[in-house]
This record gives sequence, structure tokens and C-alpha cells, in this order.
Amino acid sequence: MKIRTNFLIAISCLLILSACKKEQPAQSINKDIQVMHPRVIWTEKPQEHAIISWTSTHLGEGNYVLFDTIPNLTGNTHLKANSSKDGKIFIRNMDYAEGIPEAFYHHTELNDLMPATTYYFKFCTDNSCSETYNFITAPDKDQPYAIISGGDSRLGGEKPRFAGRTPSIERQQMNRMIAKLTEEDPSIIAFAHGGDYCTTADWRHLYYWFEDHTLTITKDNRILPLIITRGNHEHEIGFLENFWLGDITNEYSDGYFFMTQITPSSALITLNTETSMAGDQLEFLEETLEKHRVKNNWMFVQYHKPAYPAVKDFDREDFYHVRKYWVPLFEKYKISLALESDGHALKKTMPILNGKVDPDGIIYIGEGGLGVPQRKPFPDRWFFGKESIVDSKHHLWKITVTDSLANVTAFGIEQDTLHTFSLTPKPFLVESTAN
Amino acid sequence: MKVLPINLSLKSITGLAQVLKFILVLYVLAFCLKLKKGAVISSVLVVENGYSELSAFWIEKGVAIVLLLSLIGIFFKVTYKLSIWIITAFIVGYALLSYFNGGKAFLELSLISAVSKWWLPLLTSIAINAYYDHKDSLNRGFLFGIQLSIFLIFMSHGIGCFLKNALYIDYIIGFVGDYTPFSIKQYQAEQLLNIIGIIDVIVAVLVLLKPSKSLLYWLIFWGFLTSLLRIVDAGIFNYTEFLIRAPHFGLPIAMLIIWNEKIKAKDYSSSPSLSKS
Ligand SMILES: [Fe+2]
Ligand SMILES: [Fe+2]
Repeated sequence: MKIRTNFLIAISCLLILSACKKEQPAQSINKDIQVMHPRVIWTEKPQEHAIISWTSTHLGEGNYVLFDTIPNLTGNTHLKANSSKDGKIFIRNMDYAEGIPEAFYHHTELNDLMPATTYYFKFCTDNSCSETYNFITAPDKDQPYAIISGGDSRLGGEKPRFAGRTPSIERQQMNRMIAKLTEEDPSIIAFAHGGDYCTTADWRHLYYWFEDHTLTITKDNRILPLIITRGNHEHEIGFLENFWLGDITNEYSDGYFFMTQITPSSALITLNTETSMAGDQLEFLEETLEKHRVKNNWMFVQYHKPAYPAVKDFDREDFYHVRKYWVPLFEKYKISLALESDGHALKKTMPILNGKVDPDGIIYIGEGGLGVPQRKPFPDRWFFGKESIVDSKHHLWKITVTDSLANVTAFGIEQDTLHTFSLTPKPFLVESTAN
Repeated sequence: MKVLPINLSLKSITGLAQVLKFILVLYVLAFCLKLKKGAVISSVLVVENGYSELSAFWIEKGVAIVLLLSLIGIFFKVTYKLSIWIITAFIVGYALLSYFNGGKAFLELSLISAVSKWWLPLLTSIAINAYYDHKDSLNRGFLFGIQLSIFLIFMSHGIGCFLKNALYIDYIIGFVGDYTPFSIKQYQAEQLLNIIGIIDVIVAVLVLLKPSKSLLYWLIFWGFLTSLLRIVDAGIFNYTEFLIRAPHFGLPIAMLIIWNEKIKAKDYSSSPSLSKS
């Protein structure tokens, strides 16, 4: 019995130890500063605002972005924006064990930009500057545009946890395809990522995600702005450090839910299934739809965990909460399309209204295929039918939007068309909410 | 720590063994059902180790079958020890795998909650053994094991409240909205969570330092209510989440059985007339 008592005490000590994760002391400093991992982030007003984020090997004393509407950034007359947020990326023992270098995050907000304009920029930590990249701001007039939507790009790099599938060929291939699609169709203006970037948001995973993300950059160094969603694999501090949304969304940026006004009559609401769905976020959703739905011909919504899962258990409480709290508002305000992730399969549901297939309902597409190994979906679920697609294939969705039509196409890993369909805008009047 | 009596009647030993077996069955059954639907084992095998989905599911189903057989095994004298070891190995392995797989909020708290059940099979085994051997007492370590489990369960729950676990917030908002004529805002739910968190931490500490009968009744009530909320909120099909929390009210019941014996023993020793009768 004494042994059993000791066993219990030992277990409890083990518990306390296992819950504590210690940081290792800083490693020796390498004097050559390197900057890497360029990202452009869109939040609410992409016509006039963007965030440039990058990684460096040292914190530096001056972190800034040089930018202009001309490609040559060699002179001293260009615009300069100092970074808004910098810091050391949190590193765990496991990150060190896998040989991932220490690094620092930097985020710089570019404000007062001109709409539909190509901006050239380079980011600098002290005197080390990147090469010149470019991105295009969103238009302030209605014009045809396209966005890429997809989720679940976890795994990758040379030593992901448990190894096995290295490197993440599929993720890299999907990213190359994004670059190619953007080169072929310059009307693609953003990349809406549905979450689950990596297995965790720890540095050993994010590092390789950022490395692979550079493959989405086109030959002429164009970077597609990211509209980010938080997935269930982004609960670590690394996500907050590396995907910062800026001061303009202060009220909601911690919650990672916001509305991106893509064109004057087209918006994308990003929701966060990893925080309270019934509280502040529900109020935000209702207020946003109430205020903005009327003037937006197209209202898209993206979030990570699906309301209508193709793979996972339909009755799970998190999926149920999406249906319980958000879907009634989607239906009341007649959103155009819901973009979901998490399941690791290709899916397009039948239009759904009031828990039934209904031609006036909402179509839910997804469900995560940017490189993560695909799972087997259940095509016999009630929300799949003749006009659906349910498959186990890597994919991304390209949504091409004009005034009167949206073409939605799923591309496979070979840029093969897996499924395509069209949507027309749903007429919405204020009175319709009274019903 | 207060020295607690652990002399038990055969009836109490039998009751303890039955209660612990029942909790263990519900708890492990929840895992079997989760595994049947596809859980973390197949996810890790497919996503991180490149197994085909078919073989990963069969491995997972195989584990579920072994677990089920082990559950049956705890009801037989010749097999219960082996069953207990298999179940222990599983729940320890599953907790660690879930932790390292990530993909959940409050992973550390989930791990603590899972760890609190690691010695549940061992406690069950001790109780079964005492029952088979007709023992009239149990080692103090047995009671401490139950206390420690309850402490960890309620402590992790309390910390989850302080950290404003989003699921808890939605339970409160949902419950008030669905079952009362009122509605509640997130900040109010968070204030309520702070109060619940304080209560959880206090009762968690008290169960170690100064347990009492009324405290145990509270633990049973609160453990059951918070478990039941999983199906009250998300419907009966969310029953695995209820089953998996059976130890949250079952362990206080087990402790109450021991505690009642203590009261009896105290009454007996402090009442000479009673002891003569
Ligand atoms: Fe996910
Ligand atoms: Fe995922």
C-alpha cells in the first residue's frame, strides 16, 4: 500500500511538471540580421489599410517598411512606416529540440493607401532589408474580382512532430498553385485562409508554414493579402504574436472576428469558432449584418469549424453551437455563401434553410484541403445531394465575383477543376428581417 | 492534512467497489464511443504518420474493442487486474496523445483533468481487491487518491473559469437564454464564471484539507450539473461528453461512502451508550 501511495504522489508530481513548459535561455547571437517570411494582412478596410508582417533573426532597433507606388525603392523619397508591434517569438523546448532558430516578429501598418493600387514595399530590421515585393489594395469601386478560399494547411517542414510525412509536399504544391492562379488571373485580390495553419501555432510549426507561404508569391513578387481565420490548432501564443490584426480592430482583434469590405458592395465576415460564439461575437455578427447587409450585394462569411460537417460528428457541441447561434443570422440576413474548414475534405452542401434542404437556403463550402492529409467524408448526410460535391481531395476554392454572378470553383492539387457552380446575389431588403 | 479513518464495513467496501466500477465503465465507455466515431488516434495516424484512413480507423476500432473487452474483464476475478492495467495504459496514452496533437483550447487544463483520472483504474482495482479479500479497511493512500483526483478536477475547472473558457461562457449564455426568461451578456457570464471559479478552487482545496459531508454533497451536485449541461446544451447526442465526466460526480460519491463510515465511527466512539448497545 505504501508503494501505491508513493505512486499516487509521483503521478501528481508528474502532472505538475508536465503542465509546466519552460523556456530555454537565449542562444548565442548571430550578428548577421536576416529578414524573412513576408506577409500582407487585410483586416477591415483593405482599400486604405494593410499590415506588413515579417520575421527577423534579431529584434533590431529600427523596424520599418519602405513603400511606394513605383517599383524602384532605392532612393530616399519613399514612404516609410515604422513597425507597430515587434517582439521575440515564444519558443518551447520542442522548438529548440527540432533545431528551429530563434526569431522575432514584426508588424507594420500601412494607412491612407490608395484603392486599387499596386504598392511596392520592402521591410527592414535595422539595415537589413528584404527584396521588393508588391501587393494591390482593394478597389473602392465595384468591379469584378476573385478571392481564393481554403483552409487546413497543417504539417510541413523537415521535422514536423512525429515526422512521417516530410516535407509537406502537398502544402507546397497547393501554395505554388496559388501563385500560378494569381499570375494567370490578376483579378484575384486576396487569400482567405480558413484556419488550421499548422499542427500548433508553436514556432517549429509556424516557421515552416511561413517558409512554405513564400511559395504563394508570384514571379513578379506579388503577395496575395491574407484574410485570416483562427482554427482550433491556433490556440498557442504564437498565433497572436505572428498574426496580428492591428489597432483598427482593437475591440475585436483579440477575438479575431471582423468584416472585410472588399468592394463597396461586397464583404467577407470572418468569425472565430475558437472563442465564445454566443457572446460578444454574436452581437458583433448581428450588428454587422444589420448595418452592412443592405448595402452589400455579396456577403460572404468564413469561419473554421463547420455548421454542416462532411467528416466529423454532426452532433458535436462546437458544430452545434455554430448552427445554434450563427446559422439563424446567416439565414435571416441571407448571406451569399459560407466558407468552412476543419474537416479535411472537399464539400459543397445543398442549399440549407431552417435545417432542411431548400433552394432558397445557404450553401456551405469547404472543408479544408490546403495540404493536410484528406479524410473520408460521409456523402450520405442529409445536406448532401445531387448538386453537392463530397470528396477526399486537396483543394482550394476560387470565388470570382461580378455584380450579378459569382462563379465558385474548386481546384484540385493539379489545378484540375473538381467542381464549379454559380450564385446570384440574394435580394435583401430591410423589411425581410422583420419576417 | 486531517487524518481520516479508513476502516470500512464490508457493505461500504462493496459499495465503493461498485461505484468505482460504475464510474470507470461510464468513463471508458465514453472513450470507446469516441473511438468508434473517429478520434485522436486515427487523426494522428493519418495526418501525422501517413497511415491510410482505413487502417487508422481499424486500429482505432481495434483499440475500442480491446477497451470494451477490458471493461468486461473488470467484472471477473481472474481478469480484473489485467483489465485495469490495459485501461490505465490506454487513458494515460490517450491523454498524452491528445495533448501533443493539440487542436484544442486550454490543452494544459485538459491534460490536468485527464491526469486526475489516471489512477481511477488503480483505485477501482484496490476496491475490487478489498471486496474479494473481504477486507475491512483501506490504506490512507486510497482516500488520498480520490481526494487528489477531485482536487485536480475541480481545480482545472476553476482555472478554466478564471481563464474564461469560451465553452463555459456559451453554456451560461445558452442556459440562461434557453431556460429562463432572461438573456445574459458575455461580460455578465464572465463575472459569473469568476464566482464559479472561486467556488471551484475553494472546494478543490477544501476537499484536500477539510472535507465534510456537505462539501461532498456540493461536489456531487456541481459535478453532476456541469456534466449534465453537456447534453442539456447540445442535446442527447452529445452524451459521450457527459459520460466522460462521470468521475466528476462519481468520485465525490465514492468519497462520501468513506466519509459516512467516518461519521459512524465518530458517533460510535463519542457515544458510550451507543457503543454499549
Ligand atoms: Fe480544425
Ligand atoms: Fe484541420
